[in-house]
Amino acid sequence: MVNLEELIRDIFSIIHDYHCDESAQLKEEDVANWINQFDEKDRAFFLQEFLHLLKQGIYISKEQAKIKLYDNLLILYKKLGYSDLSRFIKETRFFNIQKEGKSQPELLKILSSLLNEKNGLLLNPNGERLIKNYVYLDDIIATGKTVRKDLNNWLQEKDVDGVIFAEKVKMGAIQCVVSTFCSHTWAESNIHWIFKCNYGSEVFLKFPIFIASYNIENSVHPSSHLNFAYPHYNKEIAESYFSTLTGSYHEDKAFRAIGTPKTEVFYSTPANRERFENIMLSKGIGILEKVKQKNPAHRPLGATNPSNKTLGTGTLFFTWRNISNTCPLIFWWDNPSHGWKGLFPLKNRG
Amino acid sequence: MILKNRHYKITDVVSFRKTTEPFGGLSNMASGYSINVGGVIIRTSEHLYQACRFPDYPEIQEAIINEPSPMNAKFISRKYAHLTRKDWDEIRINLMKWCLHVKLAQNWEAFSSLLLKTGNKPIVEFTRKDKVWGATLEGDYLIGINALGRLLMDLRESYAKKAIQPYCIESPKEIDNFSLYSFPIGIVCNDFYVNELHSNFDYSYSLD
Repeated sequence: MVNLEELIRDIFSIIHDYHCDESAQLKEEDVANWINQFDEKDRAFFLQEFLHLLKQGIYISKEQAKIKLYDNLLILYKKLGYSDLSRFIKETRFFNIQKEGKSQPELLKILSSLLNEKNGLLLNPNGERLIKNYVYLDDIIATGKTVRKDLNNWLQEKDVDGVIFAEKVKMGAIQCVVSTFCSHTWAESNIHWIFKCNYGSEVFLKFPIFIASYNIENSVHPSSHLNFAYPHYNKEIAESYFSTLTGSYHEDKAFRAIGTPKTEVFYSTPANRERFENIMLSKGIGILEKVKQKNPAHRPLGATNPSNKTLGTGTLFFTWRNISNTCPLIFWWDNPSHGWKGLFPLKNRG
Repeated sequence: MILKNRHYKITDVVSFRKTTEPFGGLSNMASGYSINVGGVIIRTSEHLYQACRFPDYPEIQEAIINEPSPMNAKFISRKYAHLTRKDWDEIRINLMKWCLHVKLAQNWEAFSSLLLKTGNKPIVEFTRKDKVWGATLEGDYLIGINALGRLLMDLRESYAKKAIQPYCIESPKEIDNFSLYSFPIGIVCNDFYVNELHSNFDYSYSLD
């Protein structure tokens, strides 16, 4: 007999520090209140499966974030061919482009403190002329929209000698790394291709280099683990909600192909995956049905480019700082008039 | 395409053999002309062509596409030759035509300018043995069907010389079961990616 309270406690023990730096940190009763919004017959199952997923490292606490930020730094300086961290730091500029309140400035503060404490080094010690490497920190690359926009703006700027950064990349004079806790493989390949198209050089198929503590394999390759929310074709959904979507891209990949993934390694079983995904999908659709002014980017399984005819990005990854709106709506949607309060409330609502 | 041998005087043609030669970019093995089909980035048209031999075996397709060297990609394909689609001999020239159209559409500046550099000369793939895709040297002549060279000449005349960039390439109508990684290959368009860079849509969190 599954004990709901025990499941709630176990889940809370993993996610307890969500929004710990905000005025309203997550409480154990929030988990209970959240799951009580689901149909009674699904609650125990849903918590059990969610706990199974959480145990695979899809929630990063603040303490874990510090370890992973530093570990990524140790990986990336070696990947760029350095054996000396101090020399790497001297030749590297860490971008500080995102606005205050977003993840980048916060991650920079944490990394700066760690680097100083562990190695006696300071970030961004040198002027532009000595810089050979550029590092962009973020918590998650989901659709890639933010990093793409930020890097594209930077690529068109000039250095102190008047050379456009895009030209320096083409010449191989500089490298760029995007370092995150989580990255979606489809977004990575998209970013590479978009830059290749825009700058007309195959060099950009490796620009930027992505380093992530955790990858969400949402490229529909045969070997992809498809460790996100990506349900099979559902005739009822296809003929109702899905048919109302006005986007036109990627419709052929909107539903997971039968027989994929080849081996289920993320969800507990293929059958449980099916059930879990369909619960998220139907509850998400239920939320959207109550919304009067729909944002075309919002889909039941998370935000996506409105041009896409898909059910959403389906991100299943969370950090202590803030949830990505590319996660299924059941995790973050918060509006009493729509009858739903997500488990992880969003900071920086629009 | 009528599959009869043609005779080309070697001094009158633009030929290509190795990818490192001046016209090496015309070869399917040439790097620098990557292709995107349904979000899958493919290094060369050779990789794409070989992957299309195995629509029922997405894992073989993945092995081919993941292989960095186009020559080794071809060897992988040969290793699984017994699993080639049954109508391969009937469809392969049409398939190659499609691959080349996608290569041109997605690498317009580099590939069209290379085609234009050939002027009005016949384009011939100079091969050691292959008399279907290329032509072999016999005395002063290159002799063979030269299917690849002729397809390239069609592209030059139909698109490059007219400065018409093919944008969206339809899948070949005559080829059934045309898929990549179990997904049917429909129209291959680059506009999603081109537009994405300038897309400013606000995904903001307003939940009202």
